[in-house]
Amino acid sequence: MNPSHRSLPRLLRSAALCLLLLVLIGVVRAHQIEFDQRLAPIAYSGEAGEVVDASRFTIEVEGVEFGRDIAGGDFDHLTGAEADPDYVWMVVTVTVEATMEAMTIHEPVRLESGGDVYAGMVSSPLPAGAATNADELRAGIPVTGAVAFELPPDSIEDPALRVTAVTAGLGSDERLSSEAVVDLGLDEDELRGRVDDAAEVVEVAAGADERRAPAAPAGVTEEGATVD
Amino acid sequence: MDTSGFYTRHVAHSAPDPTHPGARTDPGLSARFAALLVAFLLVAGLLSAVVWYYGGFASARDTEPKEPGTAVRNDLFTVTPTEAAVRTGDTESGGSRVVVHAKLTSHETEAEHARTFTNELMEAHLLPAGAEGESGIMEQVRDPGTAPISWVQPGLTETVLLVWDLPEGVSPEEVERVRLRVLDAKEGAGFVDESERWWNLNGKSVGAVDLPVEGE
Repeated sequence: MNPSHRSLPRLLRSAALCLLLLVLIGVVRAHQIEFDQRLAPIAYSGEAGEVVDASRFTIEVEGVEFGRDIAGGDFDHLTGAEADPDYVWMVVTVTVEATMEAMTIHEPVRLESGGDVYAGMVSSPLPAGAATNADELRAGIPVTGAVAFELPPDSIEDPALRVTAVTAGLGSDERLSSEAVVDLGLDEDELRGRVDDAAEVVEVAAGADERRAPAAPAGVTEEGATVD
Repeated sequence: MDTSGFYTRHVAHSAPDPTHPGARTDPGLSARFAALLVAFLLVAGLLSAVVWYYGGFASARDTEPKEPGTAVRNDLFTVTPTEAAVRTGDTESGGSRVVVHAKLTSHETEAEHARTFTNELMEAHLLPAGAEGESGIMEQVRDPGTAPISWVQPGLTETVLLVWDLPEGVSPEEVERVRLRVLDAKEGAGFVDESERWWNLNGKSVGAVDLPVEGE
């Protein structure tokens, strides 16, 4: 009538074992590394104003400026177009130096701000995206340039700059490359003040050489490179 | 031994029921049952015919195209297209393009490729030519025709231009309407390419908006 495998203690034990295995599956899955993270660039973090060593390159944030509009550098094509009153431009001046081999900056550079991740633009002389060989960061030669973000001013919160550099010639392949995450160190009050006092126009210095001068197709190749 | 109780309990159903004089004992269809059945079939058939007439049994189609200014939403964005135009004499490609003005809101917290929106999750059907716009890009209203938007920023809410090339062999005169079809969006890994991205798995649409084309 009641065979031993149906006995209550055995049933309970089986149920408990099943539960335990389910929990174990959950734990293992929670610790499984996502595919994207397995090959993601290796991040190194630091603060603004110091040289952040990202192993294959170093980066130093030299200044942050805010402006209603932007001009100069590779942003010349935006000049003349009406600036959007809902947004503010944040221009970060950085010095980047490749340490081992020729590199380019992977596009986009990103700004982490209060849980959101914004994409930014890179201006020459910093080489970015589909840069030709002439554009690359050569090992040991620091290059100073600007990256710019157009942001809704009220949602900027604890901003950190995230820059990835890749071996020159690898194009958009950022797998296992180096990444620097630089805390810009702007707290709430300072940010509000800086945004309120934003300049009319932030003038970005053009590159020392004129290879990415604002000729007619410059804006198209730079911005439209990802449109295929 | 009194078996009468047993008998009445178990045979009562087949015994004639004196309280219903009309009930018959033969096992075939009673006239009453047949009448009820016919009436039921008539009513059911009529109802089915009405449902069928209004398309109730047709397989689910894409929702009917809506009026300009209707918001269409998938998991990645909400788009509200308001008007469409054909832009001719584009110096860059030489061809004509169809331009859709739309208010776009991104529900993502990370910047996303603009081409995910225009190339993968939206389709511009050109009517009555029966063709589809190609290589969609996104432009800023303040800056048309020069620098396309590469990235759609998190939480962006802005009016943008959605621009598609007319396919070869379709002249601007053949385009009287643009049907903007918004596809269902899912974020997930592919089977071969396991990286997470926004894409459309099944070609299903969450809505379409028909826009009359005006010259630009």
